[in-house]
Amino acid sequence: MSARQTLVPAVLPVKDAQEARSASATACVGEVLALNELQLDALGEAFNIALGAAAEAFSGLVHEEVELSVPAVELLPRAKLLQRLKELGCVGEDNRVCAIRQRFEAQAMFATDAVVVFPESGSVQIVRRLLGAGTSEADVSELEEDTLAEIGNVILNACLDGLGGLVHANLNGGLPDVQICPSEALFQNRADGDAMLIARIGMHLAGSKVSGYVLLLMDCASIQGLVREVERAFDLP
Amino acid sequence: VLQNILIVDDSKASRMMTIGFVRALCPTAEVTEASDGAEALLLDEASSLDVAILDMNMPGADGLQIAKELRQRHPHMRICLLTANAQERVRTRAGLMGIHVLRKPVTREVVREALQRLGAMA
Repeated sequence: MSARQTLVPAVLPVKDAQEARSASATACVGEVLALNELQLDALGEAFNIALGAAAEAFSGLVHEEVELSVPAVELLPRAKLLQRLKELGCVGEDNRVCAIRQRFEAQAMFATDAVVVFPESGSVQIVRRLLGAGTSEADVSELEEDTLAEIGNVILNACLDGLGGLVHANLNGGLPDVQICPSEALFQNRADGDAMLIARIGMHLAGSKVSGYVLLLMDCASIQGLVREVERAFDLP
Repeated sequence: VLQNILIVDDSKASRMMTIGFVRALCPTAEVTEASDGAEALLLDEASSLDVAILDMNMPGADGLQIAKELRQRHPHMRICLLTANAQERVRTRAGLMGIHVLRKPVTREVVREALQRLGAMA
């Protein structure tokens, strides 16, 4: 491994990096996940472009500007991801979250679980905003899951459409799956020690004071596939 | 023709692509690059910049905040945003400052349009 390569993105604090590196050893063999700074930078920028399109779609839904954070690319095990979501304010004080997940596959190139995560209280606010102020509590309650699935569908399809356009891939998406649950119940299809590439970007609705994150979760083979395509898209040396 | 071009983007990959297209389209241009607003403003003190191509979402100041600062120093400086965050409200805010917004990804055609709008192409 050259000096420029790293098993984890340089953006991680040292303590986090050590934990992630340790976890990655159990999940990813050898140097599969050795990414250099420029590759990580290009991945982050690819997600930035993808999430820009998603924010535009979301903004159209809620009729409000969606403030975006700078994207971050991290390699984290599941347990650490849950902790990170708490640190980022995605988990409410009641420890409950709303996650809308959709699976996307780009032929043999890569597959990703794309997830939008809000604190449960925030997701209810967004649903109310979409359905209109005059909507009864009973209707909000009845339509909540359906509306959240549609929000996820719009955000995640715009995001993956942006990513697919950048790397010239057609992505096939599954149906959105809404989970409203304690944070510990998220991502249970992954073992605690499994390392995942997590690209995240924050979306904040200033008017509604709601913050959420879009995550793209990928395993080792998909990371390799996506990195190849991103390198091509950015004409990296 | 305005030939001293400032490019600000926190992504090195995007800067490399933008600069590559600028050099191909304007071989005589002087290009100054920065990865954030603080660096851009420092470089501005040391250089004589004509026009700027700015990303929007960056650590620290965003593209429009940097544009505001640059305009205070150079009221007639031509600026455009080259960003993935081309929401209607971002375009409106930029429009009020006379700044055109171009949408990423960075392509030769997008950079050509930026340079034409900035008066940096012969």
